[in-house]
Amino acid sequence: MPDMDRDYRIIGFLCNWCSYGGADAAGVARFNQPTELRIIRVPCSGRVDPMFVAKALLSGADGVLVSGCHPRDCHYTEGNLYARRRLELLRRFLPIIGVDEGRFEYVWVSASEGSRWRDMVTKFTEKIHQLGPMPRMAETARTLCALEGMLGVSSAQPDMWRPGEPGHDALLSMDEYKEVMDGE
Amino acid sequence: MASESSASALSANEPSVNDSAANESSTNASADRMETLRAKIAAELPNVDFVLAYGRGFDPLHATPVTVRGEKDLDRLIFDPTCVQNLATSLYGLRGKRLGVVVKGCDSRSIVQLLQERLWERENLVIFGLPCEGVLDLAKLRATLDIASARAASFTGSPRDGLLRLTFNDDGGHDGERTREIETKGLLADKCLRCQHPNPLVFDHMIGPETLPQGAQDDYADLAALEKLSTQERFDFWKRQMGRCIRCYACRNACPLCVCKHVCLADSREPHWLSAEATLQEKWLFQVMHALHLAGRCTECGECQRSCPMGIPILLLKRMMNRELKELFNYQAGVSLEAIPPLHTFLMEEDRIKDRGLLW
Amino acid sequence: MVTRFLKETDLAAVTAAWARDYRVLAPVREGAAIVYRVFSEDMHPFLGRPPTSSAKEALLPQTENLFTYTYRKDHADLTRTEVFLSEALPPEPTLILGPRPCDARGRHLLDRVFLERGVTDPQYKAHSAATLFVTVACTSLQNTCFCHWTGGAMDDETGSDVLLHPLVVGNTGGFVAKAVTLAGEKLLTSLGASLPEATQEMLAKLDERRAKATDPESPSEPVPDLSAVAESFLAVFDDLDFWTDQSARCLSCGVCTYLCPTCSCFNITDENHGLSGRRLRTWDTCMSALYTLEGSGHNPRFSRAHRLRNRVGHKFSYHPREFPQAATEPPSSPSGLEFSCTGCGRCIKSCPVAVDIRRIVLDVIKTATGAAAAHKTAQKAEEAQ
Repeated sequence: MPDMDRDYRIIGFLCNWCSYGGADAAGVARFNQPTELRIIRVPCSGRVDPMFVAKALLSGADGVLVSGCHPRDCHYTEGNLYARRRLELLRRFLPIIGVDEGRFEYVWVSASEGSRWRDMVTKFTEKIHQLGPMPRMAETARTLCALEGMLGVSSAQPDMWRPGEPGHDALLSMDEYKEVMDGE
Repeated sequence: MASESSASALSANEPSVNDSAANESSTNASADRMETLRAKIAAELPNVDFVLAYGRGFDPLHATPVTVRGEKDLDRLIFDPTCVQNLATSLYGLRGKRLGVVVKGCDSRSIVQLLQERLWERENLVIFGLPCEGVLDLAKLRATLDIASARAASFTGSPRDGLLRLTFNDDGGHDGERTREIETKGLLADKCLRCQHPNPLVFDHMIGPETLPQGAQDDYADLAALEKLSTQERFDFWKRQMGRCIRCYACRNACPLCVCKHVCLADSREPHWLSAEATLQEKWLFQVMHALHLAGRCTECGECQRSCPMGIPILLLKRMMNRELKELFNYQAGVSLEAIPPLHTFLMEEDRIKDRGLLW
Repeated sequence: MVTRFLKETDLAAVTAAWARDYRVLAPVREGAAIVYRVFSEDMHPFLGRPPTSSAKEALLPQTENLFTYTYRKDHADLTRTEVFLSEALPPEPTLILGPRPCDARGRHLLDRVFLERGVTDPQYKAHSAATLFVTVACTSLQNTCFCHWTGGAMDDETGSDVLLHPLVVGNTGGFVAKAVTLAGEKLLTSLGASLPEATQEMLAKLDERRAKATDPESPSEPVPDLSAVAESFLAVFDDLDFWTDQSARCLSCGVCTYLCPTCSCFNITDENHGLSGRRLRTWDTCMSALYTLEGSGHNPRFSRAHRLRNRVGHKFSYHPREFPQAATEPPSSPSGLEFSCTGCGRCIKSCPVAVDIRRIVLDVIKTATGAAAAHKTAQKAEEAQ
């Protein structure tokens, strides 16, 4: 049962020439769309370094969507064709590190395909809701602050981090912390 | 190039060379091979700045890279299953020199890759290729024995079916010794068990007879085992493994193809990919970065994993990448000088990539 | 002195008892490594071999928060920004179980850096005051060990609060626990009956072992004379060919420095998250080219030869020259110098390319002696002319 109440953090990398226009078209057409996708505009899907996706996911994003021009339609002729190879490789790689393959997707949406964009966003967001939140690393930069504060180990005041900021909700109980440190 | 006669004259004049070669290995074939290697290196010495080769490390189970600059260094040379290091790793840092380098089959793939990427000029490299029947994985030996108290080691037969004889200080008495014989087969590095290229692919001098590949085709059983776990379990597995990383970057520095060295993204403050915090997130992201930056380049020499002082199985990540590359683009790095790396090119219609446009 | 006997089978229970009062760092086997983890009840401390990492992390964590900061913009006047600082919390009382005497001796050398140079480092001081060392004595030397070169010993008590001597009595394996400091005494006595007194027989056995180890006739390897190494190093300092050959195989990674119980170099960075962040102190490694890279782009130690030379020089020349008074204080090494090295051998054992610092030190002495002799001959020849 998808958890539709919770807000997820989904990052979208959209190419300037097609998909960003497509998303804009969807907005102009006043389509109803989920609002959890945060859009980052890039010049071309070929600009999307797979590291962008990896960094987003390992920093706590629940999903990442890359969208560019349809093959043969790239503003720069071939940027999306290079991107296709890289992103496909990344998509196949992610499961081995324990990131569900559904959390990353790449699609092609042209500037005129506002309704297609709406469908993509809606379906991807639904999928992320089905998958639930990305597993947390106990020791991400911010949770470490919280942990150290809780354990009195050495470091930061937990209240330094505003509640609701990414990572803060992952404050662990002592038992969970031990599990992380010694579990297996 | 010096003539063969001067090389053999050298070995005749230096009986000590013969002696130490005999100590290295009990088999005559390998003693002969060392003799040939010394002669070939001696002949090439005038043409190169120095030769990178293997010498004995601090104990009989450790080899260490040595630089051969003159004939006096020749008696330090060894070659046996303890010669685990990939000497191609040092090459990039020595650009501008004219070097000789001793390589095993697997190491030669790194050189192919360096040449393919134009990171080294072929004409400035003299390659001494040694067909190899396998090297030890000391971690496997360490699991059963306290190898730090081994006093002497000798190999008999081929590493594929031979024996390793270890002499230990006796724990009980003062001067007593005890010996143990172990089949080398079970101690070989995993990469050797699936080795398809035991003979160097690129060389100027092939030392010794070529050997047949012993390995079964790689079936990626290690990856399959990991894939049997649930996504969450895999995540936890890596969380646990990465937890002990000390961020020493031995994995990066031991990698023959990590040529960015101190301009590595991992050390960059702007852009700030990784912070200075020793958190799981940073350690993990670095390993993903390493795998991504080696996509289509990694030859699975295994130096990253072997160098890790904490024993983190990071080669798995690179193997995953390689398996998918093979499946998607039928590509293997470091076997052909002419091949075009798959991520440097594209097909308008990709045969094996499903069209994501029609996905939903 | 308080001496108790700790049965091997009671180790987990005793550690658990200590863990009620302390954050206990205990060595556990993980893969091929032995690492310190925060103790929890389901863990089995492994004391059979020296841990892969050194005990330094208890005193000088890999990253340590110095303080956290928040900027607040004045909305009325956007040119004004206020910054709020909050200090790090004091360290929790910590007990580190399972370091070796070489690790514990490292404390003394870290003290030199952080407490005795005229400036006291508050973070280090706090960690040091809050940390107890329950050290395990060694019964044999590994082939990478050279603690006896630097003045250490398999049962050296320097820096420990409690020293555990492994001992088998009859069929019972365990440790004779000797309190070294008052805090260590408290640690042992607080557990009452679960730690029985060590018997005379046990102590006699230990004395016997000690006598055997220090027996000058015993066949252990002789300690080379290092008394000239500090000067020898300076003599070969400019011999770059020597250092290039020594370092040709070095990978410039941080294994040796990060596993070293005495390497103390750190970097300080601000890690920003929007308008707030933390100022961190992080281990740094002099093996990295970035360590000395200047803002201008100039790098005074641009090659591996320069960097490896620095590491060897710091341990065996700069340190003894900076602390010459150490020669008269116990524990000094057989050579009469205090080195910034405890001979734990981790830099040798874990080096991916088997660089051996002992070999380098001996080569330094040999080369310097050779050079001096050559110089003398040349001088004599000159005089004769």
